[in-house]
Amino acid sequence: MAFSNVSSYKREKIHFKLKFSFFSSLALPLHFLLLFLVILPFLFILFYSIINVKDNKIYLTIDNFARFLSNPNFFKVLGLSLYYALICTIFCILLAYPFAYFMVKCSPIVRNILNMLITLPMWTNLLLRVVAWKQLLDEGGIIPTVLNFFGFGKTTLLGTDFAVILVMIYVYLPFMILPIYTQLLKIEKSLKEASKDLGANSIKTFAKVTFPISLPGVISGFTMVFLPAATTLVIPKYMSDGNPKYTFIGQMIESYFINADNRYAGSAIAVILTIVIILTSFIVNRFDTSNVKDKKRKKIKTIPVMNSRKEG
Amino acid sequence: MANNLPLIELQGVSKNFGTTQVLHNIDLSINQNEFVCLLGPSGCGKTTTLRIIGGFESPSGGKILFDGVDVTSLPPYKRETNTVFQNYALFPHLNVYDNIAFGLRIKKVSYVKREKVKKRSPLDSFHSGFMFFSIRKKRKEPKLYKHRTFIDILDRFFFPFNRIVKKISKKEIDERVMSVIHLVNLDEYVERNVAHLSGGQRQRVAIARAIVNRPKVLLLDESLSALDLKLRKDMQYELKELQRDTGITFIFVTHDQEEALTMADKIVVMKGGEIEQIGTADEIYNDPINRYVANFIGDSNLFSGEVIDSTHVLLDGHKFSCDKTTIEPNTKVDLLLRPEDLDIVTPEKGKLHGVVDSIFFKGVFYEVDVILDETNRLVTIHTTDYIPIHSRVGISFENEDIHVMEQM
Repeated sequence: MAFSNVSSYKREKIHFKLKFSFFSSLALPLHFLLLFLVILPFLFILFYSIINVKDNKIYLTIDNFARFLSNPNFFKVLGLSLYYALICTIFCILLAYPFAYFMVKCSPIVRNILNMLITLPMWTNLLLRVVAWKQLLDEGGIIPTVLNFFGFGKTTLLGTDFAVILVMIYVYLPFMILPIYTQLLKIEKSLKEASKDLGANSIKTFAKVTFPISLPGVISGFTMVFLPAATTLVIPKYMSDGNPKYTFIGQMIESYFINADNRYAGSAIAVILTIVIILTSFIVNRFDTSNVKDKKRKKIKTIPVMNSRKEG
Repeated sequence: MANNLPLIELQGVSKNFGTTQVLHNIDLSINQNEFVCLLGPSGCGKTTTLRIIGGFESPSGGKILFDGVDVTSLPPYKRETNTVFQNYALFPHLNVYDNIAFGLRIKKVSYVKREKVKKRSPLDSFHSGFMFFSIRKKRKEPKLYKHRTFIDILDRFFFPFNRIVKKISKKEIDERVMSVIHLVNLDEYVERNVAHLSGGQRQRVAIARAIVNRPKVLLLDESLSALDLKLRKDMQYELKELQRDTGITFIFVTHDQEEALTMADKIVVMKGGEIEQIGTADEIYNDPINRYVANFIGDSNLFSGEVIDSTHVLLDGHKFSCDKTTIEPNTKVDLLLRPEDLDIVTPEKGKLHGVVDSIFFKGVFYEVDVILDETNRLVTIHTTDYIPIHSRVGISFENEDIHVMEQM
């Protein structure tokens, strides 16, 4: 039998046209914002990173980069920042995914309440929250006191991996929950039913349908957690308790810009960091399942006549 | 039918959603290789019936038997049914090929080597109970053993001779998928993103994804309703042919009576959670059991009348001969006259008389509305002749055109 080819496949093409209209002019403020707050500053940083000033003369140089790229200590700091950010992100995924999954199963009212509770801490300043955590974890704070009571011999938790990662997770968890939640919410019930209909039990349905479809949410969560976590400034500053082990790349940039007043070196670090981050997101985005590519047609080999009854 | 046992049997199935009862005591038996249409207006419970057969809803009461085995509590993935969903439910993260191969890749087939071995291994219940390693049981057909999971190894260790478990091989999957893709004429679209397909193509993918598993029963949930008329007509024809070719039992849910008449071997007319009538297209059209079915299937002119004796009925105070009826004399009945059975003749020759009220051109025929003289009743007639408006006409019909139905 033959199904007739009724309609042909059309590839959508996107045309960019520069055309002035009322509606496109509404985006102008955004363009200005992007220009002055994103593009220009970045160009400045890029510019600073390749110059040096001596005796009021500007020299073009790659010394700023060479200085760091030949310094093993710099790589240690960079590696440490990325390492802690990665651990934080992994924990965030492990905590956020089940929570988002649970949220989607709730009734809309409960969902809204949970949603609000998740975003509520963001209404408070980050610095305040971190300082509050510092008090909780510091000597005489609630958490060490309770731990002491059970026989853990630490007076302060500051300056430990536990404190740094805990607060990082606390700060960045909402940014992981929300994208996963929105993505899970989009999955139609019928897809799960279709999967079960085709012979997959609940676990396989999750592994083969729900999780792959929700992966874009995990990826955007990863981006939203990993990138700020890698460049975080406030958290290690307050959680390290002066322990030099927790000097992250953000602090390094800060120290060059503010303490050492060497904005050229600081800019170079920022540029290196940007490149690393772009590379990371590029790698992570390769796992994106939302964009199934159209490939060339597969070669058709043998076409046996279908007859279910005879073989079954 | 080779065996008289129906393939699917619903016994007194009912379903409540909260306090509203959607299905009332449905009894239905479906034989192998039948094309069954569940027909009714929206909200009549036909989709719920289908979902209960597919295992997506569990009935509030009653039983479902497959080949005589009670499957009421079985989840969808253990039933030998596959479904084509109303919105197709194609997996957006997979291309056409992977969508179709989905079921085959998941399926693991456990063959029992010797037919004689009736006693199943105790690990069987372990298989089905332990979800990760759930196995579809299939008998006969010994194939090479290939151990895949820990459970399979255990199984092989304890029961080495009676069982063969394996996944379907890649080669076999490829062959089966490609043959089905060819069957639904999607050769050009094998590696396409399903989001880039048209409605008709998507539907064909959905059908292919279901039939590639060679289910015993294919459930279709208003699968054609999203297509335009021309495409729908084509698909109706293709589906019917597909059913004949594959020998799969089709259960098709629709609210389109024409669709049901075209495709079905057996039509189940439903209303308000109850089955009104079960029969072939011919039976349903020509011998509707009551006013509701008559109205739902095809156009109809309904009169209330009375049975005089076994071959005569009273229609609007006139006595007419009709085909033999078993209904007791003097009972009130509904009488049905199909518009295409009526002929417009000169007033003298007509059995009924009236004035043409309106006439519409419908393509193949004119739809003429005639207002009867005595009762001011509107009668619709399908005719190929043009009748001027306001002209006096007579309406004639044969004796067998009067269909006598019991009143509801």
